[in-house]
Amino acid sequence: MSRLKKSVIAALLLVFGILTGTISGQNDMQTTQDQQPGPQLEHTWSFQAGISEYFTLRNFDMVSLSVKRHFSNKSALRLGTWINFWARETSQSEIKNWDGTNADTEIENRYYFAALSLQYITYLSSGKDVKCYLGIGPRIRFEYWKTTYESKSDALTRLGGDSGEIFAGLQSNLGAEYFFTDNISLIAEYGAILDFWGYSDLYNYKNELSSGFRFSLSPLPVNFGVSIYF
Amino acid sequence: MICIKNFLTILVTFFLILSCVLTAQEGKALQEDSKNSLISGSRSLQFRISNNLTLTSFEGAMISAKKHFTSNSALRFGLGLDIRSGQEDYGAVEEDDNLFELELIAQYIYYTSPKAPVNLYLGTGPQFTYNRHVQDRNYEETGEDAAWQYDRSWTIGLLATFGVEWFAIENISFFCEYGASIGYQSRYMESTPYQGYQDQETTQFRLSSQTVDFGLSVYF
Repeated sequence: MSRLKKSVIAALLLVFGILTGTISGQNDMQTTQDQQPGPQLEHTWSFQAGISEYFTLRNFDMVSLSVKRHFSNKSALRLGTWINFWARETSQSEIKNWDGTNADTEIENRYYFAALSLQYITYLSSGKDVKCYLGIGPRIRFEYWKTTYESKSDALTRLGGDSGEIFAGLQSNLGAEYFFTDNISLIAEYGAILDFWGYSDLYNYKNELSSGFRFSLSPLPVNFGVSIYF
Repeated sequence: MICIKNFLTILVTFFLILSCVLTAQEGKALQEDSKNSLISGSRSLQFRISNNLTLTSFEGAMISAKKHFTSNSALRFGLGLDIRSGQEDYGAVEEDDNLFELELIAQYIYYTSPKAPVNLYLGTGPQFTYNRHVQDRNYEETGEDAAWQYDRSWTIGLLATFGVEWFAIENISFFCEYGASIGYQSRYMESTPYQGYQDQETTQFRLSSQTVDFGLSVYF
């Protein structure tokens, strides 16, 4: 065999050797990627935050704290809470227009707010990066505020008032979640709520009670946010 | 000299083969880049990308979804439903307020070349809306009508859209689309005389172009 033939065969063997190695490596990589099960969510916790303008964060799903606990890869409970309370006392002295005398008054304001939502979430698809889910559960909200005027002068006629509202409903969401890392995902969801809302306003200076209630089935604004798993 | 020539021949052969292999791999990579979710059986949710990169509802406030029957054809469906029934008591006056709003949109979407890096699509389908709002105020003591307002409208139309969709990854795409609609609307209003009219009926035929929609699709 001539030296040239030997050289060509050696070169071909080299090329096929490199090619075989490259293709085999690519196949291994592809197989590994295909076999990746995606993020393992079982027994994980996560926080949700809404994404607002220019990717700033805000409250998610109309609650200040949204936490999710996965029981398995396909099922989870999402709990949202928002609690707010403040009490304010003001002492003021007013000059009465009609006789120019002073009227000392104590004003007391109290405000209570609580919102709670609980959703059972089931994942309808188990894609590697993108998952679709359906959630359903109750949502309640309670709000009450009261203003009391206590006058040290008999002449002052202003009195306080109180007002409250309650909201209770059943909420459902259909959303999609994209995991761009194993621990962080972007979520976007449609929602609807079947609810009862009632309120009562009492203005003592008129001594009139205003009240109302409403039943509704309404769409909710799209929730767009980020979920961080740990 | 012969040895050098042989070595050069082998080198040239090697680089030619390597070039062919690399070119083929690059082609394959490009083909893989255009891999997307426009396949039979895929489903997706659509969202509108609104001001300052926030997401809002797309077609229908309650849900906007798409189902592919083949890689070329799909059905896009939008639903909006709002039902409210309430009563308020203002002391002397009592008000009943009832609202019903329904919006249904269905579009057949056809993708001209679903394997392309950027996919052009055309869509057409019907649109139907129905709104009914009744407000009734009565004096609590006498039960007499204080005010009454009835507003009912419905629209039936045909939508046509064309747009492009680009897959950022296999399951997520961005799209923008133009659209136009042709529709017929009927509206009937009735109220107590002092509102300015007793009853009014309007019918309207309209052909209008829609504003450009920019959105996001998530496939699963």
